[in-house]
Amino acid sequence: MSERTLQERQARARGDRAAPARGAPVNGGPTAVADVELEQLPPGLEGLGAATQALVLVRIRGAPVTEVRVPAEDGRVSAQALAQAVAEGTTPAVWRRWLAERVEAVRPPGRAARRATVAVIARDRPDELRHCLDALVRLPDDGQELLVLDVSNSGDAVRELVARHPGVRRVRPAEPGLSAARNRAVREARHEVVAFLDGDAAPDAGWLRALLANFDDPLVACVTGLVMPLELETPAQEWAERLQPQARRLVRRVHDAADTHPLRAARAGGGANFALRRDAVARVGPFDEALGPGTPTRGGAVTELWTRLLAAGERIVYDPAALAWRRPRRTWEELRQTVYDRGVGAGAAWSRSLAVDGEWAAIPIAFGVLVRDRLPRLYRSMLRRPGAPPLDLALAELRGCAAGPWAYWEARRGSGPRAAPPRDDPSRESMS
Amino acid sequence: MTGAAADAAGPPRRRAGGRTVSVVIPTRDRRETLGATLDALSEQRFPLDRLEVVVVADGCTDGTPAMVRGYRAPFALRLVEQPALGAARARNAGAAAAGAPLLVFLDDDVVPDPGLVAAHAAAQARAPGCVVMGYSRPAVPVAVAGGGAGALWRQRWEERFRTMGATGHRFAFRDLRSGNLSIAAALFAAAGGFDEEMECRADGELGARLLEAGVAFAYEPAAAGEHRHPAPAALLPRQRRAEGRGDVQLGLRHPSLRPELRLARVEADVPPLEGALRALAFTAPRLGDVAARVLGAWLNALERLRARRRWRRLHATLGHYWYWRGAAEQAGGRRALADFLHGGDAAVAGEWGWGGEPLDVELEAGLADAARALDAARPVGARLRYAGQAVGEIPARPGAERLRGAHLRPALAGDPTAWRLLLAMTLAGASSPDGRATSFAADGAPDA
Repeated sequence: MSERTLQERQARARGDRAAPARGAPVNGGPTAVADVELEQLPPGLEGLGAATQALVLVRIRGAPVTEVRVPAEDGRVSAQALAQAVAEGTTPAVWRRWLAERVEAVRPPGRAARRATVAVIARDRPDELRHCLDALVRLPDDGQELLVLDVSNSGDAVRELVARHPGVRRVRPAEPGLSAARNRAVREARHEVVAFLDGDAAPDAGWLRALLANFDDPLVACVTGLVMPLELETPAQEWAERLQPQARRLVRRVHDAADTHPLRAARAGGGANFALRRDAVARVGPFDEALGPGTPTRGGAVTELWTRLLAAGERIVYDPAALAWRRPRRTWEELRQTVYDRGVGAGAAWSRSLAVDGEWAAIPIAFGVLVRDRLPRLYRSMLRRPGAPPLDLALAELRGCAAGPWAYWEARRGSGPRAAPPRDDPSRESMS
Repeated sequence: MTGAAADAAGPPRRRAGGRTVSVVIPTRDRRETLGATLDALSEQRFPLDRLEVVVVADGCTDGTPAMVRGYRAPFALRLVEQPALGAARARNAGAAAAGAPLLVFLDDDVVPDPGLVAAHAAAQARAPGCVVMGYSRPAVPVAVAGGGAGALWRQRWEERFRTMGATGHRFAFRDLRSGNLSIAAALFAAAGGFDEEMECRADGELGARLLEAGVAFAYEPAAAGEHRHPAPAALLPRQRRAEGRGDVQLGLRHPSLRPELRLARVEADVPPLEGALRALAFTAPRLGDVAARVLGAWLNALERLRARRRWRRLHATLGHYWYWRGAAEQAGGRRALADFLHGGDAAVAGEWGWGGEPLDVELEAGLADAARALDAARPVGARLRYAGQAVGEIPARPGAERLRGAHLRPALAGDPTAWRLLLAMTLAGASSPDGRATSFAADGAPDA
């Protein structure tokens, strides 16, 4: 079923009468986030505070397989409610996966056959960065190299944090922009795979091994992972979560030029948590430094590289087992800015594909997305239908996309010593 | 020494000098890549004094024989020349001229990694009497790779090796590829070598005979080389046509394999263009060829326009056309082809090699026991049961190896076997209500 129908159905199931006005509480209150193992379900959930429901991530032997929402009362979820929600929320695919693990037809990824350089993008959230680094150094040692790309304003905070973690190297790129920083990481990396992680996302225990296991297929050039929210307390956080494509979020998917048009590469995942094969980048070229946070285009760099990878016949794998946890930004203004930035990035990426790579299909595809998806969604937002995003978010994305081509032109024109935008601009935050 | 088939009657000659491996390379007009291959063979980790390389020049016009004669090699290098008689004859001639007990067949466009020969030798030592396939990494020139044909070729090629390397892969006749292959010389001679009448699919045909005789196949990814394919797009007509012819020849020699051939796949809804082209392949092939060439030019235009989906559809259509063209040519017409597919030999399709009944395998006692039962009996197929209830089957497949214990686990994870197994386990009380299976799979280490 289409994404839209699914969202409406989920919204009706939740009891949403109408799309809330911006800033209004969603689900009647905050949502707590929990993480359980299918074969060892806890007898209910405790200590959920003021939450009215819980978002529960269900795993099988460490690999995430499904997520379910359960209503909570007085800060707890009863064992029966939890078991029932899990039973209803598990699809046949989950049970097949469970059986495959039992008969050992499928094995969880062990020590990886190749080594990775982990590049952490450190911006301006030192507390989150600390959690991220703590989790990274706890990962099993498979010979990985840890690198922090310091693109923050407050260079000292990051430097001190890195100093407290031996074995982590810090790099402060001179050129502005996140794409330049990523290209620098790819150049400096010593190993075959470069794994990028936003500094405000903490990796799960199986994150690196899950990423690396997918590179056993020689056709795979890039692996993207899932980013789960640590909390869903404010309406902005809840909507940030909902604006992600929800359908089949916990199903591993292989993207190929045969089934995913290169210009729809954004379907393959988000730019906060992904890994690249270095020689694939050597083949198709580096990140476009006129795109991405820190430039007038504010985003789109990663998606545009994926477009080039798909066009060259490479594969991109989305693997939810490569999981990272993030605390989304709390205020509505930040969310709107993020949505706007994502729109600008998308428009700019398409402009680059059209202008530089000759992908004339960018025009019909952009119009197709607009006419078939965004405009109907805007209409539903205006009518306050359940499941439709608040109007200002829908408009922000469209405005951003329209501004994309001009932003790319500006970014290209200003190449060379580029006037760096103010560093504390939250516009650099990527959505996913 | 010219194209004589390997003599199956007498023992092959053994040269003195302790050479243990002979690399046989048939070649036609690929002097540069052959040079790179010989250079790479000079850098093998395998002791070069135990290595012999036999190059069979099959009707070369670009000076390959002169290059080989003038090549200074740190190993024994021999040249066999023959008029253009085809790759199968060339390989057989090379095998006959070779003196070592182990043969490694390498194509002239496969440039071996330094460990290739050693890996083949080690794999053969581990499992004597088996046929070992190596990994030929596809290397398409970068300019071509972005284009549709290069990317498609690369994907298909990698996919073949990935399936071969998967745990519990059931080897079939198609898995034998003569581009990077090792086989004991005595075994090759006893099997009679490659069928010299076949241009394409000769390796699959040898694979069928070997599997029928019970020879084990193995895949060794460490025996790797780089497969430098020039330009996949340009070769589409010739390659597919040869495949069509080869499939008909294969089906004539091994009637029981007919259901496994692409010819036997009858699609219900063929798009009109493809249907029209296919009809032309039978009734008016010359006209069909002209139409196909025009469409081929349109295909190139689509590629430049980056109209990917249309390109793929047209590429598939043209591939099918050329395939059917070759098949019709070899079979001699539509009626003959229909007879071939549905006619009198259909009864033969039931036999495969030794025939035999499927084995009933009981899973309740544990997977290790079930796997051991398969290893002991090596049946053509198996019926899987749990506590007496049927949960699935591994069907007998013509052209595939007999079942081993390693084939069991992947078979259990598929649909609908997985469901039925789960249901049977629940009914038999093996799972507790919260989904935990208590008595199942209390195994030790999983088998490979």
